Amino acid sequence: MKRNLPLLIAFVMGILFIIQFFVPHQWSQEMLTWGNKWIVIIGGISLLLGISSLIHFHYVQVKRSVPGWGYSLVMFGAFIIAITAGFLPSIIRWFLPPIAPDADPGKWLGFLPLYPGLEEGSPLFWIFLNGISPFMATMFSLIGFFIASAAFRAFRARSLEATLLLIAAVIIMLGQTPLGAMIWEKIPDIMVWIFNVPNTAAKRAILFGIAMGSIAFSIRIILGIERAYLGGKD
Amino acid sequence: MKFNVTRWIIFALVAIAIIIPVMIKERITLPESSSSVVKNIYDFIEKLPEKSPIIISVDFDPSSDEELRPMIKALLRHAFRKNLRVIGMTIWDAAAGGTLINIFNEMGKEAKKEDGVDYAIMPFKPGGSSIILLLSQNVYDAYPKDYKNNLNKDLPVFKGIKTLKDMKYAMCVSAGQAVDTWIIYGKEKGKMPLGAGCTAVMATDYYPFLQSKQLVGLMGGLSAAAQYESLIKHKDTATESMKPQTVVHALIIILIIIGNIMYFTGKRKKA
Repeated sequence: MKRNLPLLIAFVMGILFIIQFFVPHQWSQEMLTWGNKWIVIIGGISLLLGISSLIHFHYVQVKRSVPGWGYSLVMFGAFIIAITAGFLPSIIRWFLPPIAPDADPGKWLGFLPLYPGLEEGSPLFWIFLNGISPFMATMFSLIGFFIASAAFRAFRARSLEATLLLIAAVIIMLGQTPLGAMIWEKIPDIMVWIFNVPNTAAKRAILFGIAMGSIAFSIRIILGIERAYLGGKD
Repeated sequence: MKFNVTRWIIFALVAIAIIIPVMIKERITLPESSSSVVKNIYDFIEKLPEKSPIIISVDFDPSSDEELRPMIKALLRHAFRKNLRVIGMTIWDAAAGGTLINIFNEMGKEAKKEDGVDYAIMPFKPGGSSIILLLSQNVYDAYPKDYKNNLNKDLPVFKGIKTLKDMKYAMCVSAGQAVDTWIIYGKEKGKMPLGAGCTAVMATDYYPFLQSKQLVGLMGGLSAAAQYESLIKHKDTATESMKPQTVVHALIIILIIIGNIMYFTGKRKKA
């Protein structure tokens, strides 16, 4: 039952929504709306599942003192701060009345920012702007340094294919900046040609492959041949 | 840990190549240009009649903010200048607050536009493709309320809008798979004209969709954002950031040339 019920749901819903795609009747459209609303609800619930999984994983890390368990403590700290910052303003606003009736509802005691959720001025917004944003930008910026180092080592004209790749990369790097047109006015045109012809041909072939693979994989799921999504062993 | 001298010299050179142009950016002038794929988006928005509703999906987190925020800002400046009605949304959780709300409110204030009248911001909802499919069925099923809890049906910005088909233009600016999702579900069901913005490394993925006319135009990376700023004649962060980017690109090309010279001279010595 534990395995057969999800397989049955996948089969029925899969077949139903394949038929739905080709039926323009109002009932069919309403069914699509109904299905999508359910997916949004399940998506919301899966966020809770994600949170519980995250807590469980890091709890085990700390409990077993796995190397690097300190980072799990940092995660718990950040998690508690973010949850508090998200919920506290609303809780305070519900339970404690503003000091003056005409006071800004976003400020408690005249200075504490109590805008809820992710509104500008809320504690969570402050964390996003001054914590998450610079952290993520810094991590991503490091890629620039590694790309430069990797380009120096990897872009070598070892073979005909490697030489072609190298030439294409140099043209695109030049074409992506005004430098290309400053060196030779035709470089941006050559870059566009590379994007439009060899790149598009290769990408299209890849896209066809992905599409065929997706169709085959979907049929395998609907027919119950592919069961990896159920978890555990087959 | 092994200390690699060459690697650290390259890191130092990259740092210098970024810092110096940032410090003397006022003295650097780069020539303006615009590619046809970027200009197509500009031309399309330019031709839209006043008060036409458009939807912009902001789907990136702070790691791609420097590259993609200028695109949204330039698009909003253009849309507000044309007096278009703009709906902002996201299918990317990390873009919900600090990115989507922040950019829309900043640009709204700059253009003296009113939230709910000239633009509206939708809250984040999980579901990705399902949200876009719901939009194509009924906008109010996907988003009954805006991020401030106002009923969307009552907002003037939503006047005459029922489904995605009523949108005169849709634009997805993404650092992930959101553009694909918009092409597959939004364009297929909504049939509205669709444009895309993405990071430079992702741009190559979407050229097939330009040829098949599934995309009106494409903005790939910071250079595209700078081109758009040049088209709307409002130079901002993208134009400024292109200066260090140009120098770093030149440095990488020089490094590639040096690397190849070293490779061939080393090969000759071995022989």
